Amino acid sequence: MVKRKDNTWQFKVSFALAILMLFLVFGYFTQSFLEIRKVKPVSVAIERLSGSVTESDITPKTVPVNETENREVPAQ
Amino acid sequence: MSMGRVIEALAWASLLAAFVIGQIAAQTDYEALLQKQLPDVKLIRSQASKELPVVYRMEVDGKESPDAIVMSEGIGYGGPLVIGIKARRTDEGAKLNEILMLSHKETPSFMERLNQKHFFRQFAGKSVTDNYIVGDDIDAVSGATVSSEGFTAAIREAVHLGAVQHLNLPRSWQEPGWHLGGNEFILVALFVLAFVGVYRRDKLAKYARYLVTVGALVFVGFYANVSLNLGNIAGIFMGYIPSPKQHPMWWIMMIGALGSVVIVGRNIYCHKICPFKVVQDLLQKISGVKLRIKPEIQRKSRALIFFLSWIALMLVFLSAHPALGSYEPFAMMFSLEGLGIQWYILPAALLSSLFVPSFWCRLFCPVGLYLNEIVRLRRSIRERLFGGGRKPPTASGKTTKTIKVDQG
Repeated sequence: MVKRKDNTWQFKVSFALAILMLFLVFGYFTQSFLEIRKVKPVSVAIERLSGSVTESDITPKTVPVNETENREVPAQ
Repeated sequence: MSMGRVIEALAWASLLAAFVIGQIAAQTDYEALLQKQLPDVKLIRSQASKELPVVYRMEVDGKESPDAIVMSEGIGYGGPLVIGIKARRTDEGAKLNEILMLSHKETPSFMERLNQKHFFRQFAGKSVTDNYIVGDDIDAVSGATVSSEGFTAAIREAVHLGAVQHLNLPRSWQEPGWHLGGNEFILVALFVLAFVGVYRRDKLAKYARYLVTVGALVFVGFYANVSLNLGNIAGIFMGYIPSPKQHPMWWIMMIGALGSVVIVGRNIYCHKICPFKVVQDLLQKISGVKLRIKPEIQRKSRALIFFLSWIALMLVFLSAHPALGSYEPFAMMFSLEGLGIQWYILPAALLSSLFVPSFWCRLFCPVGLYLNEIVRLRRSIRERLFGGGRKPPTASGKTTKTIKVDQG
């Protein structure tokens, strides 16, 4: 009986930790999803397949997140 | 057809659709990106090559500029990367003047590390006839070595093409050879020692296990930061496979991890080489607390990880960007650099591992699940071929013990 009570307490704590982690992972997915929304891959793909826009209309949207941060101007 | 089969079929179909959409959307017009970064310049493309790398002459205010831009592609840890380099003629010869980042799929923490260590600054003012070889005239950033190699290769290709096509210079530089050195040797040695630790039961095996534990944490984790993650697996499906000549570490890791499960049916990577497993085990030793997970939850964890993997792969395939779906805390743990919510996932995983043994491996790790699934598949194929009751022989000639499978 005592052992079962011990287990219940342990199960509850480990379950709570798992739920916390699950929330965080879903938070990460949401963060990634918001990044992807900037690129709009589904609408870009549909537009490309239907041929309704030109390449240059679309491509600037596909600039990666760190584009400006990664631009280096080494030589002064 | 059962509900499970229907869900499985829908999951595969949606992944295929996401992959196709992502590939169509990812076809980027790099010239437009280049023009966007240089709005005041007229770019005149060389007709010598239709594919990358491509040389551009430049016109500013109707006058031809002494600068040239070369756009080139390399392969980083996360996938292909495209850069433009601007080379300038000076009295001392042509020099590399500017690097323009057009596209990359590297994990944000790797890019942070490259930027913080001023990796790109070492290219400043280099002659276009220099070698541009990591370990020769370019220093890699530890913890982002594959990314360093990828960017260096793209820059090298661009600079040398510009030197030949635009400046008509003779090829006086050294071509990169196989990049096999101490790092590759250590990684191979770790896998060999891991096998020794698994298959032998003597004093040598004990020392081997200690060495592998330390090596996994220090070398695979903190030094090289080459632990496997979902992004690597997704990258393979998307064809982001680096050349063995350029990234032998990637190949050694893949061959070691996949080879051990396919050839000998043991998940050596998860149990011995994964540095995050070592961290979790250390935390367990420190706390001494071993909370149990409800067996029902443990059983359902397999389905949970598949579900999380499905979401992650959908994000990866839609964006054609492997790092975006990789929810594991590995890269951040060993570089201590991350973005947004990653800063919360890592401490939560470490805290949980302090109380629950191998918390991340048992409930959330997709790499572990996939490797263990291959072990299971291999075992079922062997049982079908050799009969259900017979256990397959091990390398040492003894019958195998039941392989410990963390997930469910």
